[in-house]
Amino acid sequence: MYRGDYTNLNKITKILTLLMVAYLLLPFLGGALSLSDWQAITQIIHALKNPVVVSALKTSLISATFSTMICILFGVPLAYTLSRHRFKGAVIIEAIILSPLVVPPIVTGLFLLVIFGPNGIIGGVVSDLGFRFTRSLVGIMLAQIAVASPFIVITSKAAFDEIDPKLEFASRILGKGPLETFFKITLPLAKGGIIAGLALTFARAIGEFGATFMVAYHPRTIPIQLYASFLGGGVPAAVPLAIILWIMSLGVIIFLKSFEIFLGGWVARTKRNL
Amino acid sequence: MLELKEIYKEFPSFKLGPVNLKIKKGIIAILGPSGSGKTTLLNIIAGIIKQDKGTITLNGREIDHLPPEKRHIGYVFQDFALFPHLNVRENLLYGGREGDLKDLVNLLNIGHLLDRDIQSLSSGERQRVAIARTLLTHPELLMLDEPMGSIDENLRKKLWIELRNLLRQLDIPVILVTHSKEEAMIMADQVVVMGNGRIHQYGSIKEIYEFPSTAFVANFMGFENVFQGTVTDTNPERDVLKINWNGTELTTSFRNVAPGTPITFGIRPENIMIVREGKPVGDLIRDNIIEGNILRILRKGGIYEVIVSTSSGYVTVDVPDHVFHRIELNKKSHIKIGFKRNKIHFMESLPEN
Repeated sequence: MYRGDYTNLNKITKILTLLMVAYLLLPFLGGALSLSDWQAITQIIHALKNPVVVSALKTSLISATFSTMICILFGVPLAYTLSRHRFKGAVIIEAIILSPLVVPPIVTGLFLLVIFGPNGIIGGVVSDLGFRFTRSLVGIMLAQIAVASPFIVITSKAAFDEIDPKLEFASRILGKGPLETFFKITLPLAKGGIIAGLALTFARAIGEFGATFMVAYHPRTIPIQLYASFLGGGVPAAVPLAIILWIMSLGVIIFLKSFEIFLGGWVARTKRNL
Repeated sequence: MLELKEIYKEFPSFKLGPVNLKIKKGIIAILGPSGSGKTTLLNIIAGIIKQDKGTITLNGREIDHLPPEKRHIGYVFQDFALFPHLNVRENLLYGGREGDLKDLVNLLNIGHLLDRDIQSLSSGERQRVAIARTLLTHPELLMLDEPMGSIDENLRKKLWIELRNLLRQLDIPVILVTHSKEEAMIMADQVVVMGNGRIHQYGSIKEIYEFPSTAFVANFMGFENVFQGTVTDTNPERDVLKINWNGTELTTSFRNVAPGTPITFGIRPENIMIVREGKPVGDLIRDNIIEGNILRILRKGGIYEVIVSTSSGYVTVDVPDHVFHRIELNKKSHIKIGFKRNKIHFMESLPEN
């Protein structure tokens, strides 16, 4: 596409763009500065040998993995329903799904506590049976799911919206039931969007702090441990954990971007001449 | 055999029905302008859209309550709806069995395409793959929605013949939806004309051309002279029915219609003659002679189409070349035209939807 001539407006836009990117690079600079100290590396290695950190790492990976799986299990069918059926109240449901993106996680966490806390409606009942959400992996996952689920729903719905319903009808007419049609036609065609949603959901879940802080301070996830270490020993104590979390999160972006490049080609190939 | 009984479907801005239709065998074209409900009707038969009322029977089986996958109907969509993530072979085997593949692949001449991606196929190849994919499921009825809709115009003529020859080899009824009269004429044995969600006429293309049953069909088929009038007088003994057409009195054969009844009628342009000055007027056309001015003359193939402005309205008259030159029509401006009683063709008016 021809993108037009160079104008003064483009100059201003370019400057603003550069400033924005520069600012967004500052955390990288901070990360790099923290790493530049040769001691930092030994500190990270040291941290990775620390049972507290190892336990936090385990807690984070397990909870985020299961939270993501649960988000997919419920979020993908929800996204499909929203994409294929126009019904009264769909707008309201969509607004509810989007709400975790705008409501501060600490608020979501506090309200979850009202429900799942030891004195909460559900938490109270479970508490009588000797189980506390607030001191369990389940509590962490409740917080992560509440905050991370919009990503899988939004990206999957966008992917489903792109699929011509006629392809699904064609499958039905060729003798396949609704479930088989979903798994053989809809899902393979939407897989790009769903995988992107999966990665974003995982990244959001593993980095979740605010809601987790309210609902389940124990067992500690990496973000919670980072906060605890910071309170105990300031920046130097928190940096190794921050770098571990930073690299894990950037890994998701790298995965997503490389997948997008691969997928971009796939989409182009699929759409060409269709 | 497919039988539709009293099918109705209402949308916020469109109403289909009542549709009653029996299709035994052969190729049936559902012909009509866009928005007439043709595709909606196919979608109802296929089970993609649920009708509000009515029953659908296929070979004695009531299928209207069944999901699409249990109806045993083949449906080729306008854009073919081939699965973009599967190659040709995978598309074909999606609903069919490996064992049946060979015969159909030969019939449709797609053997060389089996390992190709869908994206690399031409529109004509896609059509053949889509038809083969459908036939592999052994449907009891084949439906094609605008089969030439995504085919390049200059390829259509060739494909019409190919497709017709292919469809004739099938021993199941074929329903073909099209907005093209030409396509219906070339491909179909019988034609169903649809308009405004209703079936206006069901018959051979010849019948529909010559005796359109409603004004809608007449207009759609390009029947030129369709007029509204009122019956003024009837007399069975003298075999007469008189019509007032905007002040002009026309006479035709007796029909049992009460005076005062509004009617729609048509006169084909080739059935109207030029009355020559000073020559005796034949008995047969004596009753229906109208005067008017020549408004326009168009050359059309072997004839001249003459549009005459009369006091009651415009009348199109087809004049063969030799007649046109013999009577030197191009030098005249005021003429008389006439037609025989039995050339007035009556049309029904369907109640408005």
